[in-house]
Amino acid sequence: MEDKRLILRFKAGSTEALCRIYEKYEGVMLTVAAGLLNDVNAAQDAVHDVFVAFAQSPERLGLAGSLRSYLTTCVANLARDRLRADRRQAEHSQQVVPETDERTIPLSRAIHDEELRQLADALAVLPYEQREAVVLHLKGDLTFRRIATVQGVSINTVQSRYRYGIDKLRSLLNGEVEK
Amino acid sequence: MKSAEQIEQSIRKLDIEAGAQRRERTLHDLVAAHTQQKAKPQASGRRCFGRTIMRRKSLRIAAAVALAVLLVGAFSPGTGSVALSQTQRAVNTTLAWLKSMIVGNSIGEPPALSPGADEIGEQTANPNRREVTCVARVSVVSADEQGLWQSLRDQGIELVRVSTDPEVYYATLSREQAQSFDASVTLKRLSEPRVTVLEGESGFIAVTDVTPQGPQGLAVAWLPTVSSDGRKIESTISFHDGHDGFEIPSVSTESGGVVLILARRMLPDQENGSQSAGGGSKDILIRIQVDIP
Repeated sequence: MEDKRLILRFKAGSTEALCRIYEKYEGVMLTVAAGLLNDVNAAQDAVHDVFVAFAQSPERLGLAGSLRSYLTTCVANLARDRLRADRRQAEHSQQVVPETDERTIPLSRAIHDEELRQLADALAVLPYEQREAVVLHLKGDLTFRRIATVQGVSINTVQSRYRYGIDKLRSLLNGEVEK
Repeated sequence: MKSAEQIEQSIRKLDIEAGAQRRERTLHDLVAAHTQQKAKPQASGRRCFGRTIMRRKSLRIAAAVALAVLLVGAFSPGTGSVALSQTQRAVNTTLAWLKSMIVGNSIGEPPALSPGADEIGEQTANPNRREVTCVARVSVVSADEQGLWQSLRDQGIELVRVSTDPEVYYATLSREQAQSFDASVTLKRLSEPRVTVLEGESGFIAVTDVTPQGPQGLAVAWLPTVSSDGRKIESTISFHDGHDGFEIPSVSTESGGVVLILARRMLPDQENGSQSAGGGSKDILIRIQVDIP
């Protein structure tokens, strides 16, 4: 209910409502973006850009639906665009893009808990589509149906990607434990 | 060995935070972008506030419409994540304004509860927001008309008490029930202002009576939203009698449906004295019919 009121106030021009939306969802959007991009700096840029675009176009926001889902979808779309752009740039310049540069801060470096750090490292190893399915579902609270729309595939494909992703995380993490 | 469930739980627990400096910068950029967006030429940017005052013997009816977002999030319980101080301020400011309508102080424009609300005149026209019309019929219920509650009960409609001091009840009626109710009762009508607002905006109606003891009355603020299929109107109705205020949140009606609000012993009955119900006080019935034009 609070979200609907925030949306109404924001659409009516309330800057205070906009700031409240940012404060409420900034943390979770940052985690989603960092989970997808595996780079905290790039994630912060993505979240910044998503919220600025959001502030500029309140008319695009519908009254129905979940605000969290809307913002998560925006973050996911932007993250995918950024990764594609990086890939295109690498192909165009015929260069190998380094895994990390000095500005890159992997997600695991922003986490203090050792166990969660291992999880973040394992997450970074997943193929992007699987990682996206796992992060958007568990952290962004998106339904499989919504993720299917975001990824442009069937719901069964998303469920398979999710299951494979979790299985792979499980084997990676349990492998770590066995070591 | 970690199970899939444990891994899922761990991912849900993943949480990182932006630095304070970074957050400040983003907030600054957000506000700047939003301000710039609002500064663009608007198709229907406006500040509109009207008031109608009608006089009838000692009774003065004031109907005020404010195209401003004032009460969104201000009264409703269950918005615990809204900063308490902001909510409290919003309640106090709006109730003070509603009270000023009743006691006859300088009314002026509705209070700006936030910078955003104050900037309503610059808002963007949003094609998705629908207009909602409210016809508020204010009537006096005299002692010999108390049988109308039996008429409601006969239709299976129970009045729900929402406040004991002031004593206020409400009920929702479908369009058909409202027609049947209208046909069965004849009440002394004080006023019937019509208010049209965009969903998410508030309309105000005040009824005041200048008595030897000073001004008395009640004020109602109405905030409608429309369901995505356009069939249901959800209204948040705030009420103030000059002393106490409260809210009836999320009253759902169909388009053309009615919300009845009965306020007992609201206005002194100078004409009938102690013959009236409640020992010399009038009951006020506010029949709010909501519709999507």
